[in-house]
Formats: sequence, structure tokens, C-alpha cells
Amino acid sequence: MKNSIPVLVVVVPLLLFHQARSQNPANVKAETMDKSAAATYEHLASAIIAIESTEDELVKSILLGYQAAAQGHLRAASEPGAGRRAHLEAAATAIGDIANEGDKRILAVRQRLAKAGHTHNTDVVTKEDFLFINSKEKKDLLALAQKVGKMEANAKPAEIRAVEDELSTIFDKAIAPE
Amino acid sequence: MFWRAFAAASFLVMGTSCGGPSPPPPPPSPVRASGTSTPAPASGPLFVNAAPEAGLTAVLYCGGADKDHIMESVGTGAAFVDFDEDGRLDVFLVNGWALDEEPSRVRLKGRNVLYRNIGGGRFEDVTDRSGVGDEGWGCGVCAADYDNDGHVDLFVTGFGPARLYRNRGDGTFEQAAGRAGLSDPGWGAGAAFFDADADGDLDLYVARYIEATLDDVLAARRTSTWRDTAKVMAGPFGLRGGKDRFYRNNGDGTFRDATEEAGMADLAESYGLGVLASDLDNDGDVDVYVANDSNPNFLYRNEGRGKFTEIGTWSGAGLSDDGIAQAGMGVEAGDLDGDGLQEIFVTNFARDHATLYKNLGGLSFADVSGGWNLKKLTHDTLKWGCAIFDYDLDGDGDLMIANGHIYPQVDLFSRLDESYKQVPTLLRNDGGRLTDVSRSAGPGMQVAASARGLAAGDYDDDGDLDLLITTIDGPPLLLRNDTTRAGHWLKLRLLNRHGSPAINARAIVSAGGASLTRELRSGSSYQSQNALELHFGLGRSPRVDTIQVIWPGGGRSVRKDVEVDGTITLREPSAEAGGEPVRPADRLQPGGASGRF
Repeated sequence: MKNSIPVLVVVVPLLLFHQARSQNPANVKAETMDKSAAATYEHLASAIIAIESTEDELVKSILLGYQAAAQGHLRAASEPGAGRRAHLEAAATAIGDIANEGDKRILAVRQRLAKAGHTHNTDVVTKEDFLFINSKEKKDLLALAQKVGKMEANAKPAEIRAVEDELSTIFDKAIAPE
Repeated sequence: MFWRAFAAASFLVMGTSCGGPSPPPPPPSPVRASGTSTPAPASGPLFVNAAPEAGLTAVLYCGGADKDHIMESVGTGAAFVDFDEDGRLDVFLVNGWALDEEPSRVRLKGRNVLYRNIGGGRFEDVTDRSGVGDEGWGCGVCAADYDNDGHVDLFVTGFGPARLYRNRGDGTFEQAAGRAGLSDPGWGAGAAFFDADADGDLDLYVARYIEATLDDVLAARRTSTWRDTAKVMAGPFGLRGGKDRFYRNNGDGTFRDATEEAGMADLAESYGLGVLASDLDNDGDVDVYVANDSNPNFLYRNEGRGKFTEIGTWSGAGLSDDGIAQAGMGVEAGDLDGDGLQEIFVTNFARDHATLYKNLGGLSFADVSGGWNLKKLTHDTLKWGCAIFDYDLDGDGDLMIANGHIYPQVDLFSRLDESYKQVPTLLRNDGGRLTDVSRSAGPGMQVAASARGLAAGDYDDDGDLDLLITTIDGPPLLLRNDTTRAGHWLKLRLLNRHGSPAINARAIVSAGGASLTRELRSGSSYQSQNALELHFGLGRSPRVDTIQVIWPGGGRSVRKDVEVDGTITLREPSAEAGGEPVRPADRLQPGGASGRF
């Protein structure tokens, strides 16, 4: 269904337009036109709603990607070997991306959407136009990111596990259905 | 006469040991008496606008009266710079264009202005003969000797190709941006020279605000509503952000765009304005902080060898403590709490506070604006240029902010309780708590303007720091500091091996049990350039115990038992020397300075 939305958006109005043009205007009753317009709008509304839902799912999948990356880096940081500090920083970056509901590329996309007037759930406190992360979750995630970014390379596995748990708790709550 | 002989002897001592090539000229006469004296008891600050009597009368333009496009609201920057090396601070002002409203069109193209300090508190306009009177729509300025010829050059960003004024050393400049590879089109804002890769030449970071054309500016209509009341310009949200640039110096007077290879690609297309290039973690390489309007600020950690990693979000300095991306405008750094680490100070929009990020070390920061009383004191004004400076010489850094709204329309609605022209803010540092002393800081601080750029420097060579402020569609302000001294002072001129200001050299002055850290920087504030010398208020300490200088290349110099109330010039030791032995009692030049003209 979601894959056919763009096609529907284009094709349905075209078909209706073609139908209207092919008829003799004199025979077209106003009632028919009204019905056609309403049907077109109905299809368009369905498409808009479906697109918004698709956007929700897309952003959620992006956040899930950051979450998976963060957890992966945290696990790697708790293993012995070189690069633990780099894994911690990578985890901090991924947690920061969750907090900002997107990395820098996503921020640029969101600015483009804002330009077109497409906005979401603008947070009262942060004024951020986020879909999932509210201001409290953002604050908690930023604090967690900073904590991870400051952790020493020899951080104990238990400390890192505690961070993993904290991240999971915040994240699950953020993306849970309202 | 005594002081002249004293200064000459002092210079010879230093020149001999440090290889300084140039003989000293007589120091300029201070406007008011200087030299060692017992500080008076502390009294209130006193700033006087000396711009008219000093001859700084050029009008600085930025668009039309209604400010229909955001380009018309950003204003221009200013620099305190000693371009002719006579020991006196000269003034460079960036100028923009004026627009008519109906019909919308270019009315006149303002020219940049260079004022030469002729002493006695007066300046002469040398724009024409110096060759910097370009008619491009300018925005910001930063200064440094990019080609290592011993003369300070000027880089001017603008709405359109930037300008690079190469100082020929004879009082004139040549426009070299094209030849140097720095004439990219686009809208440049703040900029700073710094040696990113420790190769001995200065690289350049340029923040870019918004992608726009002159047609966009001329066609703009006010489509946003401010506080549900006034119809105002749109943006920055809804406008496409510019991509910042990093240029690597090729070492032959040219640069190449190395933004991506350095790890500084501005993928977020954030609305960059203020640039701070500073060694924020004291690890010997220079990091870069960018104040972005309405986007998270960037903190680029220098990984060495000119590679950077952006860590703003998790450093704690990218957002406010509420997790909010504020509307960053200007940025400055300074050690406000005396721990040897520089805090970051960022100015933001109206009805939001300026933000102070305490440096926790290791490029970790905490927003301490609330504890320092900034949230309350800076909430109402729209804040731009900023300075961390010790106005009363009591030994700690105070804060200065240039204010001014971007919407002239706020004046039409009294219920908004806002004004387009705003008075500046002077905040006294009382040991970690700021007090607003603006309204009792003399007539200069009561001048309302839509101010933008701000630079600090001791133009009258009397030992305290004065302030140069640009205003939109008006002349600049020159706020002469006439505050009764509450302490002694010291100025340092740190010269690299080429004889030019040693950008990002750091000096630690110990006096009276306190330790003060300052860094010499290109750029910062809002699109402006502070004087390229370091100023220390010393409180009641009658002598400086030690001066330690950490040069950009890592070498160190130490001076012990130094007299106060004067200017001292220190030169970077040669590479072979690797550092200088500790020497006693360098002599000072009272008030004045060494120069080469």
C-alpha cells in the first residue's frame, strides 16, 4: 500500500481530470462533479495520511539504526582490545543523534521540510520539530551522550552495561506508541 | 624622555635574546597618563562614546529600512588592528549596502573604511590610499599574517566573494582573494585564521549563514509574525543554510578548499555566524567552535595533522542545558573562573539568554548560564558581538554584549516591550556571579543602537580596554574606557618568528597568587577582530611573578619578576633554541609599544 501512494497521488487526479474532460460538459451534473471532487480529495487525504505514517516509520527506523549502532559500540567498548575509546565516542555520537532525532544530514532535510511548511510535533520547551523525542528525553539522552563521551578507555564493563540499560529505557519509552 | 630611553633599552634586551629584527620607535603618547601608580579605590565603570570626536563617523549600511530579508539584519563587523605597525591600534570597519524599499533596489554600496590612529584619541580616514575601500557587501572581518611576511592582513567576508587584503607593509593593501583561492561566492559571516595542522602557516575557517542571491534579497517580503504581533522578515528557518568552508594554507600565499578532507563538511547546512578558533583543551592544537543560528553549535576537535571530529552534541557545548539549539550569533572564549581553561560564551536571540559553557577539561562543557545569572540578565535583549575583558583591572574577566533587534517593526507595538535599538550590556564578574552594571557605566553605555560587531582593544594606550561597536545603518561607537582603575595592568605583544602576531599563542600570567590565562586569536566575537595583543588586569599586584608563553609550535618562554602597567613584546624563540631560559626582570615600555614604523 505504502509503495503505491505516490502513484495514487498522481494517477487518481489525472484519471478524474481525464474523465471530466472526456464528457460533454453540458451533460455533467453539478452533483457528479461534487462527488468526483470529494472522491479525489478522499484519495488525496488517504495518501497524505499514509505518507505521514510512512514518515513516522522511516524516522523510527532511522532512530532504531542509531540505537543499534550505539549499543553495538557500547558492547565493543566493554570488550578488551584497542579502540575502546573510539567506540565510546562513536556511541556518544549515536546517542546524540537520537537526542537530535537525526544526524546532520537529517537536520538539513528537516530544515527543507520546514521551508515547505511540513512540521510535526513541535516541542513546547525545545521548539524542536521532532516526531518521537520530547524535551525531557532529549535532555536525558544528551546527558547520557556526554557521560559516554567522557568515559575513559578503561571504563569497567559494568559501567558500560549500566549505560546500555539506561539508553534502552529512554529509547524504548521514546519510540513507544502514544 | 626617561621612558623612551627605558623602552629602547628594554627592547634591545629582548631583541638581542630573541632575534627581533626591528628597532623600536618611540612609543606613542597616551591620551591620558599611564605608568605605574597606585590604583584608586574601586568605583563604577565609566565608558564614553568617543567615536565622533575621534573621527569615526562612517555610516555602516545593511539593507533597507524595513529589513524584509534576513540579509539586511546581520550587520557588519569591525577590527582593532595595527595595520601600519606604529604601535597604535587602527580601526577597520566592514560596510554593506543600502537598499531602497519601494521599489526595492540598491541605493548605494557602502565602502569598507580604514581609520589610522594618529594619536591623541584621533583617527584619520586612510581608506583610499590604503586600498581597502571595496564596494562589495561586506559582513565580517578577521586579521592575521597569512603569508608570514610579518604584516597583518585582513580577510573580509561578505554577501558575495570574500576579500583578502594583503598588507604590503607600506601602509597599503592589495586585494588578493582571487589569487589566494579565497574568492568563492556565497554568504560568509564569521571567520578565523589559525594553524590547523601545525605546519607553520595559518589556515582559515569561514562560517556561512544562508544561501541567497541579491534577487532573493530584493524580492523578499515580510511573511513571518513575531510574537503573534508584528509582520517581520522570514528566517532563518525556511531558508537554506550555507555550508561552512575550511581552507588549508598551501604555504605559498594560496589556499585550497579542504573542508571535506579535514572532516569539517557542514552536512547540516546550519546557519553559521560566529567562529572561535581556540585551543580549548590546552593540548597544543587549535579547535574550532561555530555558533550556529537556530541549530546546534559545532565543536570541531583537532585530532592533529589538521583533521577534525565534530563533537558538539556530546561535548555539552552544542546546546543549552535544556537541550535547546539556541540562535547562536557571537562567540568568545576566556578563562572566567581562573582554572586555566577557557570558557565559551555565546550570544543568542531575544527572549533567550546568552550561554556560558564552563570548560570542564578534555573538551567537555557544562552550561552554567543559570548559576552565573546570565539567564536572567540577558533574556530580553537580542545579543551579537561579545567580549570577555577586564574593564576594571581587578583581575577577572567581565562580559560585554552588543545588542540590537533584527525587526524594526517591534517599535510599532508597545505591547511587545521590545525596541529595535538597544543599549549594550556590561556584566561585572563578581567571583562567578555576574552583575549588570550597564546602566551605571557612563554615557557611552546608554547609547541605544541596533548594534552588531564588537571588538576590544586599548586604542588610546592608557592600559585599559576600550570597545569598538558597529551599528546597523549608523556610525560605529567607540566606547572609551574611563573607568577609575581598580588595579594594575599588563599588555603582551606576542610575535612569532616572522615578526607578526603569534596567533593562538597562550600566556599565563601569575601575580599576587592568581593565575590569568589569555590566548591571542584571530576572529571571534561577532564577525569582528579584537586587538592582536593580550591584556591583563592585575588587581593590586604591584609586580608580575611570572609570564609563561606557550607558542603555537609548542615552545615555551618564561619571564620572571616583571614590572606592571606597561606593554611588553615577546618574540617566539628560534626553532633551534626550542625555548628560552628563564630570565629575570624584563623591562616594560610604559603604556606605549614597540613598533617598526
